[in-house]
Formats: sequence, structure tokens, C-alpha cells
Amino acid sequence: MSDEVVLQTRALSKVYRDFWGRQKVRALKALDLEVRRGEVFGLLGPNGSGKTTTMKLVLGLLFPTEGEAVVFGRPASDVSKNERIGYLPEESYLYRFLNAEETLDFYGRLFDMPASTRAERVDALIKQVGLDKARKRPLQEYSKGMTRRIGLAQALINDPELILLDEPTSGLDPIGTREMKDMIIKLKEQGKTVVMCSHLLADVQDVCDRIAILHQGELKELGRVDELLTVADVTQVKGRNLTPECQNEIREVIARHHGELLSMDNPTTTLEELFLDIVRDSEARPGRRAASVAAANASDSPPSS
Amino acid sequence: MNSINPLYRKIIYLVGIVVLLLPLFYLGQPATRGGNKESQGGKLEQLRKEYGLGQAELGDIDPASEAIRLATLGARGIATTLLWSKVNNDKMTEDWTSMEATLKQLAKLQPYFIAVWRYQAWNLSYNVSVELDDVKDRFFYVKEGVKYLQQGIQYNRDNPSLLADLGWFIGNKIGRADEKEFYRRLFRADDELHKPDTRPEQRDNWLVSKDWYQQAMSVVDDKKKSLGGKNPTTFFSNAAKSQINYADAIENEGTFGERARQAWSTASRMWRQYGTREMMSSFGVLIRLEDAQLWADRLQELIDELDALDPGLRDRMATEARESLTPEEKKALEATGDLSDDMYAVRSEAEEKLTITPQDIAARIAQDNPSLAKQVRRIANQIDDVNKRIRMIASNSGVANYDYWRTRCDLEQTPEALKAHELCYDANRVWKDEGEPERAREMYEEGFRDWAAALDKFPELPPDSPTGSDIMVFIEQYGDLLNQLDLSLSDEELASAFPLWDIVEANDMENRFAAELRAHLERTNRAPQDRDAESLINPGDALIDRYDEEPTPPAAEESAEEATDEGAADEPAAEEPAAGEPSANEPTAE
Amino acid sequence: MVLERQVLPYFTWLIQGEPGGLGALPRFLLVMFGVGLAALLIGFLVAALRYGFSRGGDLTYRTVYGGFFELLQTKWRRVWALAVLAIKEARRRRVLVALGVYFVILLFAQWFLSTDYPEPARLYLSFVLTATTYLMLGIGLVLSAFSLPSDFKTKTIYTVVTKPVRAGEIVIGRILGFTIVGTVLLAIMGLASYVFVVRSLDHTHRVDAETLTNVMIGGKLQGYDGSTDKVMSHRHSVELDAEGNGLAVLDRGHTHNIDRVGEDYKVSGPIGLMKARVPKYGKLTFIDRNGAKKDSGISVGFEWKYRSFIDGNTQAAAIWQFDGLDHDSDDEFLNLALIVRVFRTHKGVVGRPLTGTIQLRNPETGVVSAERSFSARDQQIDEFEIPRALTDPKEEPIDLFEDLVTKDGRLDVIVQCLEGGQYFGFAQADCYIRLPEGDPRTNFFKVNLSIWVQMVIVIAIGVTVSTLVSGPVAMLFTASFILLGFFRQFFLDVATGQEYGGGPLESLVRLVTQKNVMVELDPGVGVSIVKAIDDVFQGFMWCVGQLLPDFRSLSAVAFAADGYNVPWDRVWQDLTLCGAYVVGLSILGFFLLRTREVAR
Repeated sequence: MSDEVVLQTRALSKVYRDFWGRQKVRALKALDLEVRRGEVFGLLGPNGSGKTTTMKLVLGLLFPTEGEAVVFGRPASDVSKNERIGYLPEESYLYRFLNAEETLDFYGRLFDMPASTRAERVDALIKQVGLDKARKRPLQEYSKGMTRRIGLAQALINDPELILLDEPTSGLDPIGTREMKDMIIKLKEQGKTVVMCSHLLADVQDVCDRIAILHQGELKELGRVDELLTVADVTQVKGRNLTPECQNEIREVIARHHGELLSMDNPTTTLEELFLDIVRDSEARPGRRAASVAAANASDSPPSS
Repeated sequence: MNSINPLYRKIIYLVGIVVLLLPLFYLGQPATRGGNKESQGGKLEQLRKEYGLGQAELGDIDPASEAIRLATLGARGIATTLLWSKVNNDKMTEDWTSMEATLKQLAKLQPYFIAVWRYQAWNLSYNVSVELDDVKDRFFYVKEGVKYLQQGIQYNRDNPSLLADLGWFIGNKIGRADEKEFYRRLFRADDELHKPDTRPEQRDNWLVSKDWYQQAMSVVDDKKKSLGGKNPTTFFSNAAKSQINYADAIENEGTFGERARQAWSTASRMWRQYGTREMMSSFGVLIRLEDAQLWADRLQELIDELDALDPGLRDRMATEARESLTPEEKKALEATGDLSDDMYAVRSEAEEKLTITPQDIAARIAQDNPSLAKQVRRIANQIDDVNKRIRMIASNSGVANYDYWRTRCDLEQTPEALKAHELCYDANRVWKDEGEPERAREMYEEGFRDWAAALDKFPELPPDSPTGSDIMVFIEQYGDLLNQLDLSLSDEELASAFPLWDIVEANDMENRFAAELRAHLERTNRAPQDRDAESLINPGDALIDRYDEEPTPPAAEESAEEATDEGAADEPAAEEPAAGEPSANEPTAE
Repeated sequence: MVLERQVLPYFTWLIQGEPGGLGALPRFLLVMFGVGLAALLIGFLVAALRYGFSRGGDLTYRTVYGGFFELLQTKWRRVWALAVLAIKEARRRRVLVALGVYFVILLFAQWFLSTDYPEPARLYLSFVLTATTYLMLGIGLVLSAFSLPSDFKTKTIYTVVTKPVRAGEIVIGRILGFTIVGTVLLAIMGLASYVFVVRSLDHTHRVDAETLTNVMIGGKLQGYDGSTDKVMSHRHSVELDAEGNGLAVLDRGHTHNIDRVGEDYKVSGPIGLMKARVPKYGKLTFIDRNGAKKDSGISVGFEWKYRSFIDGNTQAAAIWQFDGLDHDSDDEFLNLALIVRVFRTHKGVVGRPLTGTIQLRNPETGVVSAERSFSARDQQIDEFEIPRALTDPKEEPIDLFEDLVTKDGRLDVIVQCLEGGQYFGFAQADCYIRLPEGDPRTNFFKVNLSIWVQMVIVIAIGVTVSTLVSGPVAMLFTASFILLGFFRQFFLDVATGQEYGGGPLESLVRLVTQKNVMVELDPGVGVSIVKAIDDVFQGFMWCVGQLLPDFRSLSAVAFAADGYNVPWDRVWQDLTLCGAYVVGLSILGFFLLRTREVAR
């Protein structure tokens, strides 16, 4: 993570006015944010907190009432900044009468890409998002997951440096969510900056480096995930092959140091892991499941005491 | 209700629907034709037929028209307004083809709106046709107007206005326009306007016009269609007038003898038929034009009846009235020449005093003999009623010029008149085409003698009637001929042999023969008559003249003089042969 | 044909314009300047109201400044991508249905059109071309007005606007795409309508053998005369040579060729039914009855002031001066065409046409030819072939081109009426020199080109307006534009106060109080207020009127219908006008889209 600031908002506010100029809704109040290159930034908040508004202001889809948003050093209203940005909106805002190839080709042209580059990238992206079989079908026949994937593909068509994702995992099944999260991590590994807003806390926790929490248009908390979530005064120890005697000893050591033993038991894996395992297994070996696969897979959990 | 099984509910509904369908079918079934059976259709259809409400009753139903009316999707009013505006614009920019095409579209949009057909047909035949210079082009557009009307009649079969209009266009536009010779000829030659099996003689525009008028009349008589706001007197006279015009036209074009006589005979019959038709007058009273004499006689009967109740009363009242005149009034009555307005007022008051109406007599009798009051009142009312009828008949007669045409038809049938026409026509031909002026002159003079003989048979025909002006045309030709021969009507010999001086006197509008006439009058020692003196029918006749018949000594001379002076209150000169000598030389109206 | 306004040569039209008017280019620049100024003011006011004075000003400045830079960054590839998208969208919206509608119209036209008129070609051509015009305008309207607003509604605009697409490219791309769709449709319709007209007017006759009579000259059989049967309510008289070949004489504007085939005569289809006359117009001046020069003749009371009249049997004359003739020409004839409007004050001799005279004159030396008399055929084109060997009034021989045409190619044609009390009426376009005729098919194409221009203008308006407002509103707005465009002259007349009845508010008052337009309203306070408000309205109307395209004068249907060639000058002028509208509207659309909050 470098120190270069990719996206910045200064005192950004947005007030929705009605026709007569009276104030209706104050969607955003003086937001100050900085996003650095290479990090995955999450905007959190309940519905109506201003996350999507912020994103639209950054993209130039809305005009700020006060303050400004700066992307790559240029104001948000500058169209040329879009060369280096990718945007995945919450719903699919794509032309439903085009098929996947045509869609990507169209957006590719909008980046003024020459034909050969375009053809390469279109092909690569379709394979990357796994829509190879459906490339000739018009988008109105796609399921939600497929639509999200083609949306992601068009966001990446220009190999952008900054990717903005609006609620990327909402509405997806666990497999899709997993894939999306994997994709985000991969993008980070490629050195791209990702800004995502979501209200699905678990997903944000999994991928984001820094988060900002918004409520009613105001920034309530900003900081690194690990720093924010770390519970400072509790130590967690995980061990394998610990005999009951070993466990008792540990208890005594803690008591000797005047510590408090909060819990010592078998940790649980996440439901997500279980689900994904079962699905992967089912795809590899169709048919009725052997009963104790689950138990066999959960071998890293010691019998509870 | 809810407890009834849904299935039973459905069955009940179904039965209800079927039950309701039966009366619907009975009422609404359309009439069908074709196949073996011809059904009358349901009750509604029959009612429609009976009251003439169905669209099919109006005329042809045209699918194109229906389609385009539907296609305007309710904006038919706007579409027609725009099209009318376009028609006016095309007319202004003289784009006749586009105008006609737009008129056809309009006709499809508003086929049952009579005013469209009438107005636009008239537009084509009268307005557009005169904008073109070539007579053939003009006739083309007159024909277009006629075809337009015919199309309108297809959509509105029994409309008397359209049928009468068609008669008018074909009759008057073609037969009376300046270009009538060309038009009549082109009309006869046109294959499109006549049915293929019509003979050339039947193709005369006046005869065709007569047919249309007769159709119009039959629609009113047989199918009880209303006349709209039309005056029945003119409406019902049209067919006979067309026949008269036909007879006149063929004589002008050189057909004489038996054919002409038959034409006039038909005309006479049709005209008298028209006279005996009962028509509604504007006072709500049915009248017949032929009955003028009938009612006059009846009036006289009633007056006699009144007089019989108290003989000599009238004279007494007259004497009383005269004695009641103030010296001023007496002076006014005696004055001659122009009077001041005040004097006129005084004089008319005086005359009114001297006038004794039947109502006056009736009142007096009722006053003197109360026992006779009721009877007298009855007679007086009847006299009123009869007077009203006489007035109505007189005025409508005047509108149609009924008496004149009746007399004319009779006149034209006489062998003298027929011969006279032929002679004058041939005289012109002989002079112009064969170049024999002397022979022509003889023929003219013989023709004029025949005319005089014919006119003598009908002294009731005034000299300034249309007959007179027709004869004047021949006289003018004769005058031109004489000029060519270096002769003139001022020559004493010719003048005294010329039998038609009164015609000249009455009809020489341009004073062409003024000098000759003056010379003749001087020779015969007569002062020129005032041309506007007499007319054949005067509504005032009906009342007043019955009373001025018996000349009472002093008043008689006065009233006779007044009458001659005024001319308007008239008739003493005409009624009393003793009063004046004018009747000697002039075969004036009696 | 009726030519109310002369077609100027292209560069004259562009730079100088009509005498007393502005050239097209200066006017365009003025309008753009005016619109730009107005837009700037309005934009500034709105921004100031929303964001406060200084920020509003800053915003306006940045918008304008940035905007112009952006305009210059337009990339063709992006425009083309958006155009292709527009085409695909149009196809998906089943725009081909319009073709179906067109064919249905052609089918049902049979009910109303008939070939019985004296000029059937005129009727058919004008019907078919007018139907095409209306349909294409409708298609342009529907395509363009709904496209962008639907993008906004379904928010597909988000994904487009977040790409580096310039707002101008969106506007131009759509205009281009719809234009392509429209062009394809127009091409199909044009072809179909041409075939329709030709097939409807196609007919042939049979030679009525019974009517054939021998034509003997000097005892020798020269040929035959006769007539044909009646088809489409006309018949031709027939002139054949001794072998039996010849032609059917000109009637209703066309002839047929006749060939003898065995015992029968084979009559060809109509020739010359559709024409493309190429007229060379001159400048018309008049001489009144006393010999004084005048710019127009007298009025005989017609409402339509297009023609003015000369008195018969006086010195009154109509003089056309032609320019651009070839003094050194080798032609044997000068082909002249004349249309006379006859007005009689008395019937004269019924059935006999009026006579007039034509004289040619050298405008410099004054040399005249002897008067040549003709019979005036009212409201029809009379064609004269004037041989170059003429005589002057003293019966000396003179040559048309050498003696009467000046060195710089000018010639006067003088027409007079001979009969007292009668009048001849002329307009400038009523006399012309007949140049070799053009190809009616090219002419038909040129007329369709003018229809194309109208369609493109409508598309441009529709797309521009739809950047701001929703679909139905955009459609209404564009439809009003079209409607006002058809009545532009009337609209401007009301705006400049030349129409009776005053401005909009005064007209409303008159409607309610049922006052005749010719009568002035009674003076009073209320009326003064109304008139003052109307002045504002009329000013506004005048401004709008400058922007309106004059669809009526853009339509070249009259040329084809009357059988005249559409001059290429006119075609270039129409295309330039189209280009001006597209450019101007694109710039306007760009700014409108730029300043719109997309996500609102």
C-alpha cells in the first residue's frame, strides 16, 4: 500500500432540493475521505446512510452541493478520469438487447480501444468471469449471478486502476459471494485500488483493508479493519493435538498470571466453508453423499472437552 | 348465497346469459339479403326502416368512406376543418387538380352533410369554371360540379335539395350562361353524363333538368321528405319551367312546327298541373294558383250577399263620406301635378275616408239592424278569409308569374306563333347565310304580322312581358336589315304597315327606335304611354276595384282623374273602356 | 409551376442572401451567437439560484470552458459505437413496422386516387411524396424522442456516462444512428413509391381502326390519321406514316409510340408522363399602360398576389430579362415557355382565345424583333420554338443570337396583350427558356433527398430535446416544432404583427368577446395591458421563429409534381441547412447533457 492518494473527498456534501429550491433531504454532510493506491476500501452503513450517494458523487453522476471529490488529481466532473476507472453498479444497468460479446465490445469501443486489443480483452474477460457458454445470448436471458458477472467484466474492460463496486455481493448465493470476494482479493494483489460500499458486514470484514462507517450522511468511524476490530485485551490461542492434560496446564498458567480464562473449546468453522465444501464435493462426485465426509473434513477440531 | 356451490352459481349465470341473448337477437338482428330467404331483420331494424333512420336508408354505404372515417380516430372534425381550409387555399392559388382531389376526400369524410355537397358542387360549377378561359375547360368544371352532386345523391338518395340543385345546375348553368350554345352542344355530346341508351333528342339539358326536378318533386310527394325551408311555389314550378325553357330553347335553335308545338303543349299541361297543385302558403293556408278566379267569384258572391241585406247602403255611405270631407281635403283631392308631402298626407287621408270596405258596411248594418248582426259578422269574416286567400294566391302567382306563363304557353301553341317563330328565324338565316336581304325582309314582315295576330288572341298579355322582349330581338334584327337596305321604320309606308309598335314602345330599352317611334306616334296623334303604367296582376285589385266600378257623378270624375294620374291605384283605365281611348290602339291587358 | 421564392445560386444564398435579407452563413452565426448568449445567461441564473452567486458563476465558467475543450476531444470510434447501438435499439423497437404502414397506405390509396384527372402524374407524385414526407417525419420523431429518456429511466446511461464518453458523442452518435436507420427506410420507401407511381400511370391504348382515314397530299398516300380508344378517360389522336408507324399525339402531357406489327398496331406505354423540365429564369419587370417602367403590374382583385396583370391593347407589357445566354451560340432555335393567366373583363367572343404578342429585344442596342402573335392558353405551359432567323419590324432580317443577345449574354422578352378590356397575368416564373430536360428519376431522387433533410432535422431536434426532458414531453415538444415549422411563415407574421388580430393574448380576448379580426379593439387600460404583454410574447415568438426550420419551403414535392427539375443549388442549400441544424443542435445538446445530473 503506497501513500499515493487515489481518491479524495473534501467537505463533500449533497442536499437534495425539490423544485422550489427547498431542502428535502441532506444525503451527505461534509465528508472527508482519502483512499490510497493499492488498498481495498469499504464504505459501510445502513440503508440511506449516503454510501451510494458518495459513490455517485465520485463518479460524477451527481453534482455536489458543497465540497469536491477528486480522483487521480482531477475533479469528479472531468470525463477523462473515467479512462482509469471501472464501475460496477448495484443493479445491472446494461443494454438488455445486446449479448455478452456485443456489450463488452461496445464498452471497449467507448474506451477508444483499437479492434485487436478489444477482441483480446473481450475474450479474456468473458472467460475470466466464466460466461463463455453464454456469450451469444442476449443479456435479458441472464440470471442475477450472470448479470453481476458481466457487469464486473465491463467494469474491468479497460484494466482500470481504481474499481468502484456498489453492493457487489448483495443478492448473490454463497458461491457467487465467494467468487466475488476472491476476485476482489486478486485485484488487490494486482495492485489495483478497490472501493466498495456494502451493508453486508461479514463480506466487508473479509476483504477490506480500511473501512469508513457512515450513518445519516456523516462519517462515524474510519480506520483499518484489523485495528478497529481487534479486541485489545483478549488473547486468542489456537492449538492442535492438545491433550486434556495440556489444556489443564494452560488453565493453571492463566490462573497463575491472574488472567481470566474466557473459553477453551473446539472452534467452529464457518458455515460458508461447510457449504462450499459440500458443493465442491457434490460437483466432483455426484450422487448421494457419504455420511461422515463432514466429520472427516472437520478433523482439525479436537473433541470438545 | 355463499353457500351455493360455485358450480351451481356458474350454471345460473350461464342460463341467465342465454335467456338475455334471446331478446337481444330478436331486437338486434340485421336485415339480410341474398340466398333464398330475405329476412326482415329484428325489431330494431324494422323500426329503422320504418322511420328511415338507417344509414342504408340514406344511400349507398361505401366501405372506403367508412374506413377513412374510422381512421381519423375521432379527429374527424379536425380533419374536415383542415381539408376545408386546404380547399380554400387551393382555390386561392388556383391549383384546381389538388382542390378537386381534396373535395373528393372531403366527400368521403362527410358524406351525409348535405351542405358540403351543395356548396362545393356550386364552387366547382360556378366559381372554378369561370376562372378558366377555354370554353371546353369551363364545361369540364361545370361537369365536375354536376358529377359531384350526382355522387352526393348516391350517398343521400332522397334529398330534395340535392336533386333540385342538380336540376338547377343542368338547367340554368348550362342553359342560361353566356356560353350556353357551347354548353348545350357539349352536354348533348357528352357520353358520361347520359345513360348509354338515351336518344340524342332526349339529351337536351333542359329535359334532363326537368327529369331531376320531377325526381325531387316525387321524393317530396311520395316519400314524404320535407322541403326544408324552401318556398313550395318556386320548388314545384321548376319542372314545368324547365319544360318551358326547353320549348323556348329549341325554337331559338331552329326547331319549329309540330315538335315545338308538342313541347309547348307539354309545357302548358305541366304548368296547369302545377297551378292545380295544393301548396302551403306562408300563412299556413293551402292554396292553388289556378283558383284565383274561383275566389274572386266567391268574393263577389259574398259582397252581393252583403249588399242584399241592405240595398243602396253603400251609396248612402259614400255620399256621407264625401260630405264629411273638410275643404282642405277636398282641395287636396282636386289638386293635380306634384304635391308637397303634407298635401299627399292629407290626400291619402281623404281617400281613405272615401273608401268603403265591406267591413264598414257590415258594421253599419249591424249597427242599424242588430238582428242581422250575427249574419253580417259571419259574412264579414268570410269576406276577410277569402280576401286573404286572394292575396296569397296573388302574391305567389306573382312570384311564379303564373298567369303570364300560362298565357304564354297557350300563345306559343297557336299556329300563328309557331309560324312567326319559324319565319323570323328563317329570315335571319336567309339574310345572314344566304345573303338575300329582300326576301328576308318579306319574311320578317310576314312574321310580324303573324305575331300581331297571335298577340291579338291573347289581349291579357302585357307588351312588356318577356314575350315582348323576345319579339324585340327580332325587331332589332329587322332594324339592322332595314339599315342595310337603306330603309328605316321612320318611312311612313313601312311604319304604318308595322303592326308591333306597342311592343317597340314597351321594350326598346336602349331607345334604338326612339326617333322612329316618335315619328309614328306623331302621325297617329298619340302621346307616349308611360311604360310602367300597368301590370297584369295587382294585389290591390282584389279589394278596391269592386267598389270603384260604378262611377258616381262628381267623385267619379275625380277618382278617374286621380287614377290616371297615379297609375298605381290603377285599373279604372283598364276596367272602364269608356274612361279612356288607350284600349283602341293597344291590345293592352284587360 | 408556382415559384414564390426564386432559387438563388448557392454562394449568393450563403453569403449575401436575398436582396434586403441576410445570407445564410451570417444568419447562422447570429442565431448561434444569440442562442449561446441566452443559454449562458439562463445557465448562470439557474446556477446562481442553486448554488449561490459566486459558486454559480464559477460553475458556469468551468462548464463553458471545460465544455469547449471536451467538444474538441470527440473520437470517431466512440461516436460510431453509439451510432451502432442506436441502430440496434431502433431495430429492436420494430421500426420496420413503419414500412408495413407505408405499404398499407399505398394499398388503400387506390380508393382515393384515380387516373381520371387531366394531370394524373401530378396527383400521384404529390400523394406519394407527401405521404413519404409525413411518414418519415413521424418515424424520426418517434425514434429520437424516446431513446435517451428511456436510457435515463432504465439507468443504462450510468454505465455509459461513467466511461470516458463525451456528452457530445452521445448526442451525435444517436443522431447518426437514427439517421442511418431513417435513410434505409427512406431508400426502400422511395423505391417502392417510384415503382407504384410508374405502374399506376402505365397504360396503353388500342388504335381504333375504324377511325383511321387516309391522309393524301398531292394524290399520294402520306399516312393515316385517326384516334385511339378511351383509356383512363382520355383518348389520343393518332398520326401514322404510310407504313403504319407513328405516334399518339400529345394529350394530357404524354404521347405513345405506335408500331405496326403484322395486322395490329402495338401501342407503347406512356412517354413523357413524368418530366423534369430545366427552366432558365429571368428577371421580370413591367411597363404600365402609359409606358412607365414599374416593378409589378396591376392587380385585378385576386386575393393571391403572386401574379400581376397588364392591360390589353395599351402600352402595358411584361418584360423578362434573361442572363447567361451564349451570344456565340450555334443553336437553330431558342426554346421559350410561357404561362399566361387570362383575365377577361368582358366575355368577348365566347370560345375564342385571346391573342397576345411576343417580342425579343436587345437590352443594350434596343433592336427588336417583329411581334409574333400567339393565342393565350389559360394556365397551361405554352412552348415556343423561336427560330434564330427573325425579322425586325421593318422586315429586315436579323439574327436572334447575334443581334438580339448582348455580348454578355442578356436578352429581353416582351409580352403584350392585344385585346382591349382584357388582361394577362404574369409572375416571374411564368416565362423561362427551356434548357434540355433532366432525368425524372434523378429528380425523384433529389426530392427524396429533401425529405431526408427534413427527417434529419427532426431527428436532431428530438435527440437534443430528449437530453433534458422525459420521453413523452420530448415527443410533444418535437411534434410542436414540426407543426410550427410547417406554419413558420404564419408564426413569424403573427410575431412581427403582420397578421390581423394581434398577438396570442389579444387573439384570446377576441375569441372570447367574438370580435372580428379586422376591427381594432376599443382603447382602454385592459387592452393596453394586453397589448403590452403581447409585445413580450411576440418578441419571444420571433426568437423561436428564427430557430424554426421552414418545412414548407424545404419540401421539394411541388417540383416533382409539376414536372420541374430541382436545381442542384437548391439541393446544396438544403444539405447546408441540414448540416447547420445538426451542428447547432449537437452543441446545444452537448451542453444540456453535460449540465444534467444523471443520477437524479
